[in-house]
Amino acid sequence: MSATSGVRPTKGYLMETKTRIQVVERGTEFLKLNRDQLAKQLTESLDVLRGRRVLLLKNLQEAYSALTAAYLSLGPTEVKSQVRAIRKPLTLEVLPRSVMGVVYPSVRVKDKPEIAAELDITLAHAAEQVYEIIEELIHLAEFEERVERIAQELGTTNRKVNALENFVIPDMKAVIKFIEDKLDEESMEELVRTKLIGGAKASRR
Amino acid sequence: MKLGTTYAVLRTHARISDLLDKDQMRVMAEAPDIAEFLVRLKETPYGEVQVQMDDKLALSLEKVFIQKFTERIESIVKITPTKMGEFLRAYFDLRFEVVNLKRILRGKFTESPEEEIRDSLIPITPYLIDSYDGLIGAGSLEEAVVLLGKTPYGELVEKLDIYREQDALWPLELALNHIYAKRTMSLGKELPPRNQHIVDSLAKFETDVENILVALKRRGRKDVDLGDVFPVTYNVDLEALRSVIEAESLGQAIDSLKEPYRGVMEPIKTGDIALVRAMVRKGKYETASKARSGDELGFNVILAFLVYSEIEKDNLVGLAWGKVQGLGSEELMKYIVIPWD
Repeated sequence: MSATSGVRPTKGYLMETKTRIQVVERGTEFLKLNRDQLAKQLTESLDVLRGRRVLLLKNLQEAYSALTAAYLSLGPTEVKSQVRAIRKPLTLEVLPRSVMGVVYPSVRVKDKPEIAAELDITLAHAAEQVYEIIEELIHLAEFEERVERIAQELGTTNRKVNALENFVIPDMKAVIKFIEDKLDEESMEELVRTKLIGGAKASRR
Repeated sequence: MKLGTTYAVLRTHARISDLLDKDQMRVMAEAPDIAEFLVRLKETPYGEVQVQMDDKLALSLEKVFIQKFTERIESIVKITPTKMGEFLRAYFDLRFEVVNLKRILRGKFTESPEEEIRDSLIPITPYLIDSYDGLIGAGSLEEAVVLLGKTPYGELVEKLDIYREQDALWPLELALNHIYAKRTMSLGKELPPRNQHIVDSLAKFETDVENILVALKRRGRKDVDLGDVFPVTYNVDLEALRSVIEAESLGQAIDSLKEPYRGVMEPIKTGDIALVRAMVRKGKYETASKARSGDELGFNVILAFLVYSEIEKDNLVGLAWGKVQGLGSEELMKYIVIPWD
């Protein structure tokens, strides 16, 4: 269906469409700015994410080694027994946060696990490292979700900008041209009609 | 049947040669998987081991190795003259009992099911108490501690106040460590004077090392009541322990210690904290070996054999767990102490 089908070629509609296209163009500019900012945020975040993942992998290997060493030094039964003395599970609180209008979940550690026993130093060290990893994992998960949502928002904004630039604005411009052409045509017809009527009246006299 | 020390020592010498040497241990560590590990174990004095190949395999193997170790103690005690035999039983059974009591208390602390607690215990006949059943079945941790009130572990009842105040198990666990240290020392005093030195050395070394480790974990804390945390000290006194706690860095804390403790704690400086346990075992091995070399025909040989056996048990437990996890031999050997070669 063409953009001009069903369009009322009136001056009032032309004025209204011109006002609307101004608003749409301003909105498009704003969306472009938003898109650029989101793209910048995404690029920066991806660099940070890459760095954090490398660090996490390294720390994960260290924590795994520490835990392995604790098992090798103490034996599985003793490790299981000492681990039993860790009370209070890890409790997390998830709150919504926003960056550039993009809402993402922010995770906060509400309650830390509590070591109530006299853990062996090897296990205490492993527990410390594993807990650090858990905190890092939580922050990384939060950051990944943030990046994913920014990427989604960037995709949506990009599609909106493309739709506005390639379809909505050209269609509106086509409508304006169509109405203007129609109105010009009508005024020409009116002029010709007036001239003809004027000529006929003069010849009758 | 109790025979003379010479007979017991001769039998022990023969048994020392049965211990797995470095090469045998490496062969075990290099087994590609746990199935091959068991095949290789069959070729050693341990023989064929019957275990279920399920997800509790590492735990089952640990039980087997502990069982073999307690059998070794039993067989040695049987042929050792009374006083020495009593000491050996006390030294090892008391240690195992203290481990068991800690496991029971941890279980009660977290309200673990009775079956789970029972399953975690080292299979020994209770040493200073009649049975563990009453403790396992107690309604709460406090009730279990009160039950210990009329036993040689009665000291624990006094620690209940700190336990309540801190809502933490460590005061009770440290009290158990101290009971073990004091009792071992006093049992050692009943031995003939020439045998007391090795007992003194081992018990003091163990206590001092544990004290240092506890101090290292409390480094930087201002609220440490030294008298409460370290009621028994030997070669590393309270002042030295205070220096460790107050040291600005781990390196400084370790450097402030004297030998052999500084050497034992050295891995902590490089971040390989788990290696400390291997160093402690090595320290015990060296202490026992030194005493043994000074008296190749005396009680020291018997005690040294049991110390070596315990290290071998710990090594095999670690190796078995590592093989179940699919760890490589290099990683495993790092934490395994096999000094006799």
